[in-house]
Amino acid sequence: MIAMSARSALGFTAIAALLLAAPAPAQEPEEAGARAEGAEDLKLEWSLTPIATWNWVNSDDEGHDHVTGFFDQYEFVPNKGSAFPFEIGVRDASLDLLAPGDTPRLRFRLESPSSNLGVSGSEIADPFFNQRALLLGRVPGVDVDVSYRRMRTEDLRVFPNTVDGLLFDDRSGPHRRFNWDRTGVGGEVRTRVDELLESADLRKMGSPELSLRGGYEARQGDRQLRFLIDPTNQWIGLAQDHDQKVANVGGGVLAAPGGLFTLGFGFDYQRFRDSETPILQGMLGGAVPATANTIGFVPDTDRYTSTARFRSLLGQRAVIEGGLQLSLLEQAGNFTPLEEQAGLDTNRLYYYSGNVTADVALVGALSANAFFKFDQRDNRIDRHTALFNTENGTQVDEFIHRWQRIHSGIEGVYRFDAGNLAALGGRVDWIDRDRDFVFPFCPALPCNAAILPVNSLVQDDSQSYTVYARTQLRPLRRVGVSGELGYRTAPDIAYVTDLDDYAYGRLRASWTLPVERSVVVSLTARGGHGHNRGQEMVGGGGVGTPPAGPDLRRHFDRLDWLVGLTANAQPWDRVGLFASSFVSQDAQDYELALSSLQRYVQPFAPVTFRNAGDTDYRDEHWSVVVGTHVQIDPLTDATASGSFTRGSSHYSAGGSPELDLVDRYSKIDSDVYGADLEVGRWIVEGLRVLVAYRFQYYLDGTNLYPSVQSSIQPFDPTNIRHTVTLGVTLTSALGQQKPAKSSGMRSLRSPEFAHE
Amino acid sequence: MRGRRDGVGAGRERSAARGARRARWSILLLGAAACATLSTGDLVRTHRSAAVEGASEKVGAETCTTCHDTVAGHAPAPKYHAECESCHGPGDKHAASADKADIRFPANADCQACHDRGHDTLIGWTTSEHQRAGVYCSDCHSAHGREPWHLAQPGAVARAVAPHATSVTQMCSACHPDVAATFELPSHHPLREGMLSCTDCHAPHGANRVALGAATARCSGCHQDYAGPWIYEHPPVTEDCGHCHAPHGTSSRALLETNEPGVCISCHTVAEAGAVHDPFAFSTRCSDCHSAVHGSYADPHLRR
Repeated sequence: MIAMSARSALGFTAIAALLLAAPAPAQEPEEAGARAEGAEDLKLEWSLTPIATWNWVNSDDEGHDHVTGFFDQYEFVPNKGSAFPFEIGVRDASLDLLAPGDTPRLRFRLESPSSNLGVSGSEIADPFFNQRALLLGRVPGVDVDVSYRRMRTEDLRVFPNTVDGLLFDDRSGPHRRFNWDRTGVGGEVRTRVDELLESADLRKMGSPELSLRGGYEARQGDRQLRFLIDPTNQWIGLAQDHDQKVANVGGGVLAAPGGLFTLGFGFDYQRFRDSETPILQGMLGGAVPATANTIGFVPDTDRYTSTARFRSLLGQRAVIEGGLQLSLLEQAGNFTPLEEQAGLDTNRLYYYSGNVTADVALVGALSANAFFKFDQRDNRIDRHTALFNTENGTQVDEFIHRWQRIHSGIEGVYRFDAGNLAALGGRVDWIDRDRDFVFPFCPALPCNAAILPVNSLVQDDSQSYTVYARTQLRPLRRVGVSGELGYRTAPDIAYVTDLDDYAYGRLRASWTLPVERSVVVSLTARGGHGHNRGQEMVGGGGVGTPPAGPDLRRHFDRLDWLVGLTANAQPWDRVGLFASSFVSQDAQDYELALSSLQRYVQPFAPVTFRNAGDTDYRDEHWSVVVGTHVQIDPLTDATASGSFTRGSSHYSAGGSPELDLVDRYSKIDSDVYGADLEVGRWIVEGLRVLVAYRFQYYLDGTNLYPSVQSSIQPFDPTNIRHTVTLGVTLTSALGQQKPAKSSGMRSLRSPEFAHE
Repeated sequence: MRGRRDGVGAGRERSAARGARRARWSILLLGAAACATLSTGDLVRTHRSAAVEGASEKVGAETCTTCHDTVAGHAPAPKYHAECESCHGPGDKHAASADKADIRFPANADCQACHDRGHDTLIGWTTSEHQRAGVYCSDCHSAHGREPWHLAQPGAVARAVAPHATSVTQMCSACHPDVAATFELPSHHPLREGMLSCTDCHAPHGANRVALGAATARCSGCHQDYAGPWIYEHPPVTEDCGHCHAPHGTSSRALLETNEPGVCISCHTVAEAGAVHDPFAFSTRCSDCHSAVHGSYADPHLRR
């Protein structure tokens, strides 16, 4: 990783040098002289904010470097368990190289939300996490964008429940953190030949814009694998290492020949490789049967994508846009031992996509727009007796050879004036699946283990039709309203959870209060309700006996809604306030469907289905966020925010023993509290000191599994984390007598109220 | 070698009938659009203010900057957006009166005049969701600013509310606070921590409803290890990650829209006998055993 960072730094430097050394385009001597004179006026502006942070955690469980805590999932904080958890870093940095007229030639931005140098403790070898950088170069005719990112996320350790006496054989080690590090750099160079050569003739001819792009990302880390091994039913836990590299390269050309229309062509290639050795079942030892089957195998892939797009403006009356894309994803590089033995090396997925959109002014204030999109996925998986065939029964479920979708719609819009409109529209959505199964039923022994078409959980066709009305209105000067009401009906659905009747609505409204100071209140609401008509599970079966007759109808009913209020106010010149609160619910009602045996034994044994009761699932979310910015005096400002979020999900208990278990071990009850406070003061021009405090509290009310028989015991992820940051912002204005104007650079975190 | 289910012929006929029906619909829709192009009208819909009556002469940026040495509290007007009247229209009347009503506030079309065919051409903007919703270029961009890509500064309060998010995320949150709220949930992509931005997944200038490519492409751009191709597939995974995941934030782990086992048993039946499903299926997560739920090279039951 360090080497990667060094390479990235070298890359940045090289690009910066190239941009600065870029030869001026051919020009008249007088102009060249002016340019040379201008080059002497290049101006450098910069800022830098070094910080020092202290982190401490109030948790017996999480306060150790070997334990992944709740907040570690999203933001790596090094050395949280260290005796001296003191870190330094660079929170932000910027550099602008400006030509005369403050025309940017080179812009560099670095941001890191947390300390990122890792100067102490066990993670000293992993510095520079949690940061992103951007480098933009602009010279006439050439644009260069380069971005860099290095981040780390982690997975919480999962503890499967082991009731019934099965042992969870966790071989991942008690002090293992499942982290995932991503370090990436990417960029694009765009050039306009006419601008580069300063040729008006080329511009008139529709000189093209050429682009080259590329990127590289290295990912390292591990994940926790859990799985059962047949026939022993031994429950294994492993740490699976990954060492992935993703490289992208591509290019494109965009031209507007004669100015009549715009054409674009692009090609991209992506190479994905995971260089870790695949885990084979035979490596596990113990009671695990020694086979060459892979565990958690990740295929290396190559992806090729070519795209063509067009756009045509017909005066001010209409615009038509469209495109075609062909994509191929194929397995490459590493193959499983079974594939290699069988000589299989052509696992491919083709994806075709096309679209057309049109927006047309009809008569007066009436206009219409329409869209059409086509998608097709062709599955060219190598099908061979060694892996995937009908004779040995390895295909249990359906296999979708081809998937096609058409999504289209048309809308009529009437505009009362620039800010008010009403629209009526409709959409259609068709999906056609070409499924394949093993032989449908068994006339005589031996039989295939196979799910039968009648009991497949995905059907051939999906069809839905939606009509809607939407509006954007400003009925009063201080009031804005936008909303949509729609209804969708689906004659064919493919999944149990697809809704064949669904009514929905959305509303956004804002009101600027007629008071002296600015106060804006906004309402956001959306919701929908629908259900399916019930898919059938067909009971029966057995050798020579096809399933007969409906056995169980499965219903699904869903109600989801969200309501929220936000308010912005500036009660005094120097104070800005914000508050928002949202409440949402996703209620799903469906039956818990049980089968007497697995569906795939139906060709040789009768299977019956029954309803074990209604699940009545509820997922609820409530959040409150408040924030303020206060300009205490012309040199001092403070920002503060607080947030509380409750997320819960639960099933109704009772009705059956199974539902009782579902409810007891699937309940989630989580509260997340957060608070941030930062105070900054400009000591002299170009020098600002800041003090910040961050509070994070995760309260876990989720039921823990009671009987994990493992050497690694579950812990309560409830914890409190405190972070104190001290920082200094230095800018290029340091030492200058006249206060610099606010440059608008985020890195300066300039207050909205200018400090001069 | 490979078995086909019964009734394949009938299926082919149904498929052909469907294809014909779809072709008719498609021709109808496109025909309607094509015919409409013969009509008259004006598509420019985002005038914030019309051209100023009586303004006819350009006065030059030097005249503008005598008063506007800083523009709206931001940076001095950078040179490559310095021809003020290219976007604001002739300024002679405004220069004489200093009245705000005598200068034009640019519309999206003024930006497109250059960005339709020059650098950063925006194919897709005209039919994009943001354009249809009446969003102005200047809602997100500040032509006078010097931030990369002329991004506007999020307000101080927006920065206070989400201090660690990127400025892009902060700006999107101003209009999409309901989405921003879901990033506070226990399982979320690390946007509020500043590791990602909304634009890492969303194309603010594009027509997302007709975006070219697979529905899964937006996710597999970062999660290639779930993209396959798999020997044993899970059909909803191949169609749309959104069948099971809600990308912004959820209460359930791994961004699952519904907590396990619900996300599985809302479709799947559970066997009461013949294997270890009962009572395991109800007292643990399905993915504790079926951990290769996105696809497998070894197990048709997606366990490894």
